[in-house]
Amino acid sequence: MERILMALLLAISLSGCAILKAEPWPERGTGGFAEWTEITDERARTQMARLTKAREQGASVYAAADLVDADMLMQRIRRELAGGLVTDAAMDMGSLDEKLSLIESRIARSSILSRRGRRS
Amino acid sequence: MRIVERIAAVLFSFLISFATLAGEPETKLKIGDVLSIELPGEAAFGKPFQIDRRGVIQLPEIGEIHVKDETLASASASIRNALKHAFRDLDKLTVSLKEQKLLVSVHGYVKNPGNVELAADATVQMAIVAAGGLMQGAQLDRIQVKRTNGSSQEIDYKKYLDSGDMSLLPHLEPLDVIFVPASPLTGKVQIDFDGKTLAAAGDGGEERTAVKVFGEVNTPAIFAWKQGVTVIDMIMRAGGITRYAAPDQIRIINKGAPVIFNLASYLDSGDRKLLPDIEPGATIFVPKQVDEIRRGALTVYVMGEVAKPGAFETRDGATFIDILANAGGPTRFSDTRQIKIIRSNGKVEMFDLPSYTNGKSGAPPKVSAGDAIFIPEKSDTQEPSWLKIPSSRAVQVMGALYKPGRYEWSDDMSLFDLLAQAGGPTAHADISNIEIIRNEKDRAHPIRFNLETYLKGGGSLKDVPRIHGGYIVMVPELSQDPVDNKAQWTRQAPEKSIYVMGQVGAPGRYAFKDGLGFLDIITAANGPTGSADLRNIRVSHRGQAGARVTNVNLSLYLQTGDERLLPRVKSGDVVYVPDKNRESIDQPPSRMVRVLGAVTKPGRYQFTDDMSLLDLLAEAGGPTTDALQDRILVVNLSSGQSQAHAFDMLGFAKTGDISRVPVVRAGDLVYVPNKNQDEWRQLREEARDIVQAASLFSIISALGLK
Repeated sequence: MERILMALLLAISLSGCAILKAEPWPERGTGGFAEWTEITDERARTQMARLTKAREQGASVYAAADLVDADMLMQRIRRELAGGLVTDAAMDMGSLDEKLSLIESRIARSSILSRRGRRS
Repeated sequence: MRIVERIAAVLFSFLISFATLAGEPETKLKIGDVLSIELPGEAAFGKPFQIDRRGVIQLPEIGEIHVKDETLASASASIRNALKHAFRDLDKLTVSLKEQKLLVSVHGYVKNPGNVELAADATVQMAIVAAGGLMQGAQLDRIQVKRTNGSSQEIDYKKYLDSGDMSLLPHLEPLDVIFVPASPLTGKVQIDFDGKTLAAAGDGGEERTAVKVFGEVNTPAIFAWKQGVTVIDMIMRAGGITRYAAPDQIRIINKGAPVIFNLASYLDSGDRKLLPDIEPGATIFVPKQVDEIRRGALTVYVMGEVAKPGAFETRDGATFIDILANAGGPTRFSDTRQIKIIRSNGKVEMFDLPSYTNGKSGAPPKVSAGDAIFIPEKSDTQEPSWLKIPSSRAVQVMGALYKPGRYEWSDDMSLFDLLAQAGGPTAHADISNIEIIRNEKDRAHPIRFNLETYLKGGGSLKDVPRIHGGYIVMVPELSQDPVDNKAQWTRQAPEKSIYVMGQVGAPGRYAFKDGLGFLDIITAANGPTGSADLRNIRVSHRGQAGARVTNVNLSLYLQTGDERLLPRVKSGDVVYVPDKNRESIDQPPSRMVRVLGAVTKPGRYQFTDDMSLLDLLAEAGGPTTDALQDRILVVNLSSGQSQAHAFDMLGFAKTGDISRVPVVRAGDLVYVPNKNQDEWRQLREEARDIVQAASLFSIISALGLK
């Protein structure tokens, strides 16, 4: 009887070793809907503010496609930040900065042209 | 007594006769002689008694008595004898020769023809004068004097007039008949004409010897030949040559033998050897200049549409305008824009006279001896003979014009002039692609001109291609039907086409031109189909230095209206609208998310940042029944920071906690494991196997122990 119990214990321990030898399941991820949450990163917050200001200044008229791209980028950055992809978020923030600068310059140029048009 | 009277009379007659013989020779009375018969106391005498044409005189109371050819003495005796019957005391009768007269007749071309009474020594000239003089048209060199004995003598009265030689005129005798003939030039019809006309007609009365001078002389006529006369004399008599005469080609026929006389050479050299003799009956013909081919060291030829074409002698300093003016100037039928100067060395130069007169071109060409100036005829646009315009002066206009054809060209004209002359482009003309083929050195070089852009936007006139003679202008035609143009696709040049492929209503090859846009061609192709992937329309830009492809997100354009999203397309570009339902293996991985494992439709899916993991799973048909739904794995692939996270879909569905949804980006991987991959389950199954094995081993051992 003891021998039986010994063999049983030996088999169970061997099975446990086999299972323990497998990769562990990763942690649960987040950030999939981070655009619905608050922005915690300072740089991202600044960019969001620029984006909001650009929209208020008529970016949807003077740089509509760029505004869509910027919105997309902003959403991606917020997801990446929330999902822990900090490096990728930093790179995308660089792209967003360029896009925001482009939008702002177009808004400025369009406002000058519209003022000239009103004068003439 | 009577006997005594007779003896006395005979004695008297003898004495008279003797006295006459002793004093002067006895002359016989002639017709016309005038006798003086005196008888004192008788009034019937004392007047002259002229011997009339019959040779008689009329004596009073007696009548006629013939005294012609009698001597004066015999005549006196005869008179005395006749008078003794009617008169007494005839001793005092005296008969003397008072004077001698000449009775002749003048007929023919004299003013008062008839009998004339002349002095005894009168000449033919006096007779003619007595007859009133010559009439115009009298032939002077053939005046005839006819005697009573029937003889006739012809005299050259003109020669007498020229020389004064009296011997040329015959001594007239009574009853001579002088006949003045009419010149043959007077013709057979009597007309009154003046001396000028008569002189102009010449004086050649004798056809056998007269010299005929005609052609380019001022008064062609027949002239009398004279010994020693020269061709110069005859030409001078004919009034000299006209300005149209060819003085170097004067033709003379002497006794049937032709001779060419070069008056110009004679005048240049003065060599009398060059002067041919003129034989009686010679013919002199002075031809026209144009009848002969003139050539010389100083000759310039003017041909074509001028008033007086021909060869002209030029001198140093004579300009083109001088020569043209001497030729009478261009006629109204001339095309003065295309004057050709054919040089003596064979080269041809063009000259535009209207352009010169308008001050647009420089000096007229210098014309040298041996050159030829040709003024062509102005061609009519309706002229059926197109061969009259050489290729160098014509432009061929073809294609979609109302009046295509071959048009005469002048470099003063422009392309617009030509198109207007051709009736202008038709409604189907593609004026944005006018092709101009210019010929240079037997090679054709095409030029393309966008008339539509020029007309809309304007521009410098220098931008308009210059047209020259020999060019070809082609105005292409637009495709009649852009959809069904298979039969005519070869007529559409590739460089004028744009290609539309993929998910559009009517893919194909479309005529395209500058000014049209991306939406134009998409719309022309009936727009995208329902399965078109509007986010990934691709435009391949051809004809550039390098390859360039633009990805067009038409969906975003339709969403935002931002024109900057639409690419600038040109002829030759290719537009491809992909199918969104097609497995997009050609999509780059950076735009795709791979969904693997226990899902209904595993595969690659397009992913944009506005999508989420839930969208992906839905796109992939959702997890299968054996999916391990609480451990869906998301692998974020990145060059700098790759990581994996799990997603508990079951837990998310139960709670709705959005923070439990992991981030997914394009390029990431989603793996949905199945339940067999759960470790605890594996552990349970393995434990169950072990227990079963142990149970079996225990049973066997127990049986063995017993």
